[in-house]
Amino acid sequence: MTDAELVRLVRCGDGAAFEALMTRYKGPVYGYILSLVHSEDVAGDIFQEVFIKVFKNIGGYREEGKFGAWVYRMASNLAMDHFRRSGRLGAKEIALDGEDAETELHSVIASSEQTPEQRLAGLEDVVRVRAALDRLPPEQKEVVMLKEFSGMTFQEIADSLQVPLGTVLARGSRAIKKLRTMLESENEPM
Amino acid sequence: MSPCEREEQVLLYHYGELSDDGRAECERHLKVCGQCRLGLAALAAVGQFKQPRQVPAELVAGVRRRVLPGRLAGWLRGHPWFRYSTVATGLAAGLLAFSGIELGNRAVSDGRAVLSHETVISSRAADISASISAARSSTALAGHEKAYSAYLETNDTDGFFSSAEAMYYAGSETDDVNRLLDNINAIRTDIKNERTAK
Repeated sequence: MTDAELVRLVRCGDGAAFEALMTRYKGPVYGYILSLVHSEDVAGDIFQEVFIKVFKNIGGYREEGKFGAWVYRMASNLAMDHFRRSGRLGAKEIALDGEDAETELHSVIASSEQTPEQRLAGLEDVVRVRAALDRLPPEQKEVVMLKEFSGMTFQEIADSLQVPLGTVLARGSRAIKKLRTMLESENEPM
Repeated sequence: MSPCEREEQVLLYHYGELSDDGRAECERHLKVCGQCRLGLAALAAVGQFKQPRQVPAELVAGVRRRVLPGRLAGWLRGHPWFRYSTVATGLAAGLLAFSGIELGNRAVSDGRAVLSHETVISSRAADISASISAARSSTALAGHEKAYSAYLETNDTDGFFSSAEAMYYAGSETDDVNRLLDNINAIRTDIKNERTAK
């Protein structure tokens, strides 16, 4: 069943349809929020607020736009509200639990076939990129993480954020430039 | 060296939004531009942080609690089939119990094979969770420093890797990350010196 069909059912009061939409979007939306705010508590609050707003405002959702874009717009707006309220633009690292942690750790820990030097280099690179990413302005990081999590095209992201495509591409380009500059300045010869 | 201004092209290339011609042109450029290759590598590394996230069940339950008592519950109570739902629930439970016997029999044989594997996985997950929890409680740096000291005494790089990873995921501040990088570089130098001596 398509998003639009489920939305119509939710409008008629179908709880199962709302559950289906939430099941479809909860993982990537939660991941996206967490990637921006880096606090499981804050991400949890925003996540709940997003889906409660989705439910309450679904009557106002216009079907010509993608439902996902509408949901991510709410998530982005609430995350940016959080940054405005807290007055801080940076963020800390993500704390991980259980199997997710194991998956991510395994992707970071180099295989035992690598030499200690290679393992150190791999760990160092990931630490550097993570640190550089966390220093990006929220609007730039928002574009990159939205692209990563939502799978939307840049045009869809522009529609979702209600800004011109050129603005989205400019933010993404500035993000790359900053990441590159930060990595260049930190990239000491081995 | 003047900065290359082709970030937008690299961005669109990385996410597969260039035309065939644009992609071919970007690939030619990447071959000769180290800055753009670095930008592309940074974007690829960003993708590493996009691990599938398990949404905590209490969050979903919280949404249900705040949403269902309103419009939906009212609608459900007024719906004709709601009156028969108790009977339907009983019937469904009976069917589930019946099918559960068959499923349960199958699960016993499959389960034996799975059990030992799961035991291994859960013990590993417990280790990792414990180390991460320990790291989170602001002892990350202390643990890392301890592991680094241990490395200096015993050359135990494995212990150092574990603590470094735990600290990395614990929400470390920039100064801590810098110290971690310093230690990584120090160990790298040690390893190089050791190899040179051999």
